[in-house]
Amino acid sequence: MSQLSGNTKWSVAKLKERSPVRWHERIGETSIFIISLASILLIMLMAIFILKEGLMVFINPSIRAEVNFRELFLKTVWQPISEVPKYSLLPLIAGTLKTSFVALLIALPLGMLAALFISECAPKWLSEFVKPTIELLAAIPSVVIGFFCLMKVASWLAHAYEIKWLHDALTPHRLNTLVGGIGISIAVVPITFTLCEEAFHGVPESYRAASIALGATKWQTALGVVIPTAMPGVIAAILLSFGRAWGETMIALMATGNAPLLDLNILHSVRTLAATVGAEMPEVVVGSSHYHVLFLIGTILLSISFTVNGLSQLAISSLRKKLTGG
Amino acid sequence: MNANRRRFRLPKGSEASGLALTLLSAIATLIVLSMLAIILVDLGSGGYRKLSWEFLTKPPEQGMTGGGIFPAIFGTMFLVIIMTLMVMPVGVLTAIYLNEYAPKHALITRLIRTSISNLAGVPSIVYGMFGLSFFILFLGRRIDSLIGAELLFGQPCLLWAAATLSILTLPVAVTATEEALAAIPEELRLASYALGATKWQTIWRVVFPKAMGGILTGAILTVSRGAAEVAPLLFTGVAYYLPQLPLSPTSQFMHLGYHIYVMATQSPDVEATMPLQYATALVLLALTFLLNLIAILIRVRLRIIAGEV
Repeated sequence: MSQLSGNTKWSVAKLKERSPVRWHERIGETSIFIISLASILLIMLMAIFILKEGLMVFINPSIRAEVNFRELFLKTVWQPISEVPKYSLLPLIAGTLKTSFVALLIALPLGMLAALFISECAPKWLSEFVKPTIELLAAIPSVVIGFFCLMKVASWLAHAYEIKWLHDALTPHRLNTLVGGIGISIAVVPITFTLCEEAFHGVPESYRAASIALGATKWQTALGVVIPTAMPGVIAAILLSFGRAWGETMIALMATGNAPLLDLNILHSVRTLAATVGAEMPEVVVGSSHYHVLFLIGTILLSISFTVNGLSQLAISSLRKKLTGG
Repeated sequence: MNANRRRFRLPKGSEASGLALTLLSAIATLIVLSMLAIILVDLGSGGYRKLSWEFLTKPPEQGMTGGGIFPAIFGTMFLVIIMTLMVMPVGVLTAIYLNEYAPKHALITRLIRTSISNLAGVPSIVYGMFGLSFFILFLGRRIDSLIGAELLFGQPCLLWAAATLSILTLPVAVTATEEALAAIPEELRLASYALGATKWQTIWRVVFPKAMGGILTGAILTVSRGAAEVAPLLFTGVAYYLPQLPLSPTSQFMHLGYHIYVMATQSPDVEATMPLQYATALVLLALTFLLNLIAILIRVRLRIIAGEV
């Protein structure tokens, strides 16, 4: 044994001697490594350049004279372009939550049930058809979904507003939270579906076989074995769906009506954080208070997306551990 | 004994409730699919009448109420081409590093992967803000003062819009390429090593050519993602109307998605431009669908070649 390993060592040494260092390969490999660091650099640059402009709101004295913490988070009016500009983020945050809530209320049940159907019930040919089709749904540009909601969904819902008691009770606006929420749910549903389907698909077949061998039906297995096992993956799917809904811009910009109202009526217009940036950034004066407040909104959007992403990564890695028995 | 049997007995009515759940989940699937169908039918029926060769090849006329959308198509294509040239090399090389070189549990590998998954989750509007504050105001202004130009790079333009989009699509490019590389069987690499090839030779002469189809699919999906985004362009270079085509990377440009947005929300006479809006939306939708269908077909073909189907 020792002689064998001695032999191997000798031959490796000889090989190394015969093949000289290939400098162009060494240089090539080093450049690949350096280029692959670009993503780290970019995410850091992004955090720096959004935060640096956003946190200026709390640092720069001339901006602090106009905007302060109380104004931002305790007052209720967003009116950046007026004699005395008012920069309360409260109606925008509430509007974003309201819209995301409606969107997720539609997208999560639909996406999860569809994923369950495809992974547990559907024959193979059907899932081979449904999965690429949902991929196509995900490929619809959000501006097209926004356009569709603005033109069609809003008009369809408007028929319902003609009912007198509904009209009197809720005083609906044509473009409102519900229209925006429906639009965003169309953008979110493929994400919920794909991630949930992946999570269910990852549950080993032996789990299902064991459950069915014990006499459980297909649905008892699905609800009692598959879903609990895939739970971390489902949680990750919910988190990432929320992240997408929270930051969606074009659909919110086109279909929610964009009025920064602070109420709970889902038939009233709202203005979301992302839509505010999209609508106001093109006209803002660089360096003004308004500009920095918009970047503060960017800071909020960025931190939420990092948080959501971090939590979902944790959930996914716990799922992986669970399934590999680590 | 009796207790045991009871524990495993199925709850009553389980068959009916199982059927109900099957039905419910099938209906949910149907609703999701019908979302796609309804949008397709609505845009198709609303837009096809206006579609013509003139519409695709002429500039807008009569204050946007007539003519075509050629400048918007041209701007979108030019933008996406520059974006692809920027993102694909970085994306492919990053994927090669991650799949071929990276030590699996090393800190640096985890950092790269975390960065990419974080980039994928950042809302697209935040990319636009980054483009404005980093590319235009920081980089662009510095380049301008360096070359002594009045205002060339320090303003919204095609180059910076493409750069912004290329960061947005980087995760798509990396993930798709890595998938393609991971699908190449390990035996091929081992065979190449056994013949005396170095790692570098193996990657570029064996793995890379073999993964080309998958990488192409990834590139197509990247292009489709880039063509679909509007939010990051809103303040990095897009324009509503330009009399001439953007022939230099430092000019502003028209864009299909932005064209739809502005016509639908800000035109003074929405009714008059409605058919044009529908037709424009149909063109953008057709463009992204075509790209995705090609990608799906290539993938199916690759799977047939690999003998999976």
